[in-house]
Amino acid sequence: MGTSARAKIDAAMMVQLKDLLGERFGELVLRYIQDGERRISLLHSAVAAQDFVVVHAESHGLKGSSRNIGANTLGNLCGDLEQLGKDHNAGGMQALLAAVEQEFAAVCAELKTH
Amino acid sequence: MTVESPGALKILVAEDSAADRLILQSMLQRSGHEVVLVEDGESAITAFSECHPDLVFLDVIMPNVNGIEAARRIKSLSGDELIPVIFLTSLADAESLATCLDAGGDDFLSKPYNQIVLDSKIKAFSRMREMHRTLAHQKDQISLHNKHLIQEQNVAKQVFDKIAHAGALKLDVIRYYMSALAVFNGDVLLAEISPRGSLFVVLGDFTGHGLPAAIGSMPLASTFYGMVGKGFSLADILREINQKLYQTLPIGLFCCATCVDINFKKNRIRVWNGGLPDNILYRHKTHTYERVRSSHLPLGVLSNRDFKADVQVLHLEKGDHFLMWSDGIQEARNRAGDMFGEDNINAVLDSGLPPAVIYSQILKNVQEHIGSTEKDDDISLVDIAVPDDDRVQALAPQSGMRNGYLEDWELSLTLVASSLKTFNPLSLLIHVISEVPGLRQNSSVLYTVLSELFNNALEHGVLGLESSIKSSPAGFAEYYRLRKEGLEALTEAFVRFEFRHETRQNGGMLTVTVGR
Repeated sequence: MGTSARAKIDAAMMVQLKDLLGERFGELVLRYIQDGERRISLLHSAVAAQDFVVVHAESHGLKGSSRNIGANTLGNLCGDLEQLGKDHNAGGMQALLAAVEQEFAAVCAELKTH
Repeated sequence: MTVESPGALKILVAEDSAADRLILQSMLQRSGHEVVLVEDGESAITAFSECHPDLVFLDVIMPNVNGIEAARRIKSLSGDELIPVIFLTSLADAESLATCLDAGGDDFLSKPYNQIVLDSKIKAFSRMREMHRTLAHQKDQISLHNKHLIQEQNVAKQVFDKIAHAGALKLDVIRYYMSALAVFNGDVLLAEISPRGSLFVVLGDFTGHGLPAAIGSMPLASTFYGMVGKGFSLADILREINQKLYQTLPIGLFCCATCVDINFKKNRIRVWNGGLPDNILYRHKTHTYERVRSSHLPLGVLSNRDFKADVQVLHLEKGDHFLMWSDGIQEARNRAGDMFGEDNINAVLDSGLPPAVIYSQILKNVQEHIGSTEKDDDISLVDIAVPDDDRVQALAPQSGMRNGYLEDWELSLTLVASSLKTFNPLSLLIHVISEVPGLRQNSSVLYTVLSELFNNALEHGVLGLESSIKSSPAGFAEYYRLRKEGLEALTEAFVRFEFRHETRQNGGMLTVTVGR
């Protein structure tokens, strides 16, 4: 199942959110994607500049939103990046950001199918 | 659509992730709450002041003022009101959580949000707010009641101070220590000079504390001053005070007391001790002491039928000291809670010190025992000296000092037929005679004498009835029938009373003449 595109997002969470938001579910998807794109763009500049405070803050924000929509793998990757920012650890930050970006693209693709 | 439900709250949400904001808003609205949304800390503070929410959700990491600082500002704006602040975070490390709590945060809500967890948290905080509001209301009420209580005590103290004016306490033969609010400890000290120059002192200790203890002091003081001033005996005064307290005070409220009547000319003291610790008569010559133990129940316990006003009479010598105190002395506690106790008092009494310093030594030792505490003390201690100089001369009544009493006088009262039929003059006459201090003490004897004289004048003199008729039970009835008929038929008759009173060196002379 791990290779399935659907596995990126917790299915039960999707059901709950659709029930909760009703016709505003589309708005949620849109806002999540816009917000995520903005944060990833900020993360790129921050990692390049080794601005740990911004790395910590933005990966923390994306972690929260991702967990809220059930994108738990992405949430965990963001959590790892957040920890590097907190520890002021530049090593592996670039690679982790690439993984986050890739996972985010997959989550967005899956969200759009809902 | 927001549905107003009874548990509906106004909730401020500050969160910079648009998606998270939308989810939380939807969950809160689904539960019927009114939601105000903002995107950063700065607007959270502004919105808080403008919309006065019941509950605040704050993201920790936000642009402009972060969640921590916003919480601090919001808590200071809420003042005494409890407006819970719940942090929205998935921060997991202890240090970050502690920072949130230090800033005034009340709880956390982690992501992903869960409707059930959210609802229970809100419910719990609603209850807490309700309790806080009740508590705040009760706190206001308590402080209001406390203010009332102090006002009432002030008024009561003013009234009491007027009734229990210094009296004769300013005499330099009396030394005493009473705490400023002694009356609310139930302690009362009164002293007054009788018209004959005797010093009357009462130290009373009412059961209980506060206003209930103070209330009994009022009738005690007014009765004491009224009766001492009119020359009543110690026994009469005790009887009257006991009766008043017995009738007016609720069960369980009574007055332990020592009452003394000191005649400095005759060098004798009469003591009645009902329930106070032993009184001490400390001898000048030998530096030894005699105890006057309580031999009665306190005032206000027994009805006057069972009350005993018998006193102990002791001979005094110049330089002797009479000491009395309430149980506040024995029971005075130090910081560790230990009482001063009987042994410490006896140590002073057995020390062989001169009589004049016993009082100050006891007082000093008690106060050292108590140490400095903020609490008002409950000590009442009295010392009466038998002076070895002429100071007591000032106590003796001098001519003109006894204002308001009958001295030399004459009175004639003539009752004619119409009055004789309906009026008994005895209470009127006793009332007049009682204005003479020396006669008041004998008013019951005088009543008997006057009653006999009046009846003889009326029945034998005016109506001409013979005592011999009353020799049989049937004769009694006959006698009173004749008396009634005689009075009804009476037209030309009178009975005349003539009183003449002269004051003399050691009292006075009353001459009574009754004729027809």
